Amino acid sequence: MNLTIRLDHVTRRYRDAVALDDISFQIGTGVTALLGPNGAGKTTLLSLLSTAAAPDNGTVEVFGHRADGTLAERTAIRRRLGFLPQEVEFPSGMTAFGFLEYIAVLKEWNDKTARHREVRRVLDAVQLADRPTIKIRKLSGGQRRRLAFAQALIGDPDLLILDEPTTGLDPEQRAVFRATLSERGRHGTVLLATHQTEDVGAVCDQVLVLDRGRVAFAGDVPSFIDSARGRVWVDDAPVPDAVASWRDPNRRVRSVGGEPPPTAEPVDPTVEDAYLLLVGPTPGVEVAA
Amino acid sequence: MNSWHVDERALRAYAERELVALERASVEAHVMGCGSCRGELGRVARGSVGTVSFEDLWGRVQTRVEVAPSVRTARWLQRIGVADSDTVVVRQIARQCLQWTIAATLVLALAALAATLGLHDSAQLGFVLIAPLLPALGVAATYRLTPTTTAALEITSPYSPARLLLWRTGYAVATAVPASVAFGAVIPGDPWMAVAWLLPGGACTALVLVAATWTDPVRPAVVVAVSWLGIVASWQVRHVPDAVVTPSTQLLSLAVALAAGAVFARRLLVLRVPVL
Repeated sequence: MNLTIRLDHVTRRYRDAVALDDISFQIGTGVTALLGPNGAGKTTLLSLLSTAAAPDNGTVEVFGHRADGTLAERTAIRRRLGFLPQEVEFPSGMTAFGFLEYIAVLKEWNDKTARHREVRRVLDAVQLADRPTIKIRKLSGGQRRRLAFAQALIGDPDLLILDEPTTGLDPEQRAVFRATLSERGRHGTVLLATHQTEDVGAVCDQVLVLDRGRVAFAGDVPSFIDSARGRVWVDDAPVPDAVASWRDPNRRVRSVGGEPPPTAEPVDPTVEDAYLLLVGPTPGVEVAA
Repeated sequence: MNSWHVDERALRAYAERELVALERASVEAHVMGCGSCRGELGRVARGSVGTVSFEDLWGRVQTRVEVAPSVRTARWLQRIGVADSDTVVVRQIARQCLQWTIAATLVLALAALAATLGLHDSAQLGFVLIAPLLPALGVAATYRLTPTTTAALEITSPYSPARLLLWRTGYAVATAVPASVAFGAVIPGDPWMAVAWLLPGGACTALVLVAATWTDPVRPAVVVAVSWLGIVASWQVRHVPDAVVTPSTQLLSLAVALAAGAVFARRLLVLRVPVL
């Protein structure tokens, strides 16, 4: 595994609130999921890694460069980075092509022919190649999300940092998106902050879970799922002291955690089960029906 | 299905960019809808342009159609020496700051209107208050009007922040100065008034520019604006409303502008921020 990201005893505060509390971890090539409840520090972590902010303590290194170092060091990181913020508010009056061309210029695509070819490539990658001249305000929510994703793909960056990329995508688009991420994870690094635990099982190699500013889990996906083995059951009624219970597609009640009654049958855990056991249910986490 | 096709000579002239605008548009319109001519264009292009692939050429045709509305602006900017990639940045700034440009022009127009209605003193006071601040406030507006997440993409891109700041300053100056000079010329009083605000305006802008190397330009712009309002108010209190045209004001403004410019250049060196 080639090391892409290294955090060493990083702390970041906002006035009295500690967003990240003395965290250390490393991320290499492949797709890594970043999970955590709202307010766990995910967005703060992404802003540090994308060089938009600096830590109060500790070091953040990306490709061996300090993310809070000199402008030359930050620029070296930025040249290899594709970043998708959680919400992308597009400039008014722009077309899809115009927006992507602007981002391409910011990414130093100075040659006009090559730049236009690159814009068409990423439009094609997100299945918007037939809508380059449409005004962004006329695009649907899912199309805007795909356009936002397209800007992160410009220049085929070695590191993709994506904050909630699948929000607003329909199942078919999510399948295309997952295929794109899997492909990129083979030769680069993708850090995917998400609440959609299905995406983790489908495309991720590693999992990093943040909870209240600290690392609650860092490891590969099978280990993460295994951490819940023997603690997930189905029965006709919920387990009283379970972390979470819900009715599965077979109309039985799936319970995570707690002491099961003798009638409960153990089942194979999922990423979602492991996550719920680790941090408990939160309003931000989608629980599958 | 098309009943006619573009002849080879015209396709070759198109590929070699020898057609005038109307002819190019006609060929483009036909080629976009005619597979046969697209194929022929690819063959001709390979022969006449050499290293350009059909894919590239067809991409150029598509792009030309896609970005047609902004081509004139880009050409004008390129004619005055602006690099093609920078014209994209300038067009983006202009698009985002259209509201600002309209608002600034309206404010100046109101001052001129007041003058034509006989409110000479009010018009002059309004002009002296507003004109020097417009470029400085324009710099702040170019940042304030950029959507937050677009700003995040700018910050995390390798594009030089100093270059972006200078383009935004250039845009603010280029839009504010001609309008201010034009409206200043119709306001009665000292004829120098139409241009006398330029040096104070330069000083205000340079102060915001240098402060922007430490912080968001909006805060320094507000400080500069309040300070300038205080200076103009003090002139009113001392019954010297024409003080802006005096040599002492002009020299002081020049000194402030030069000092701020020197600090700005020094900051870029210290921070190792490339402009190019």
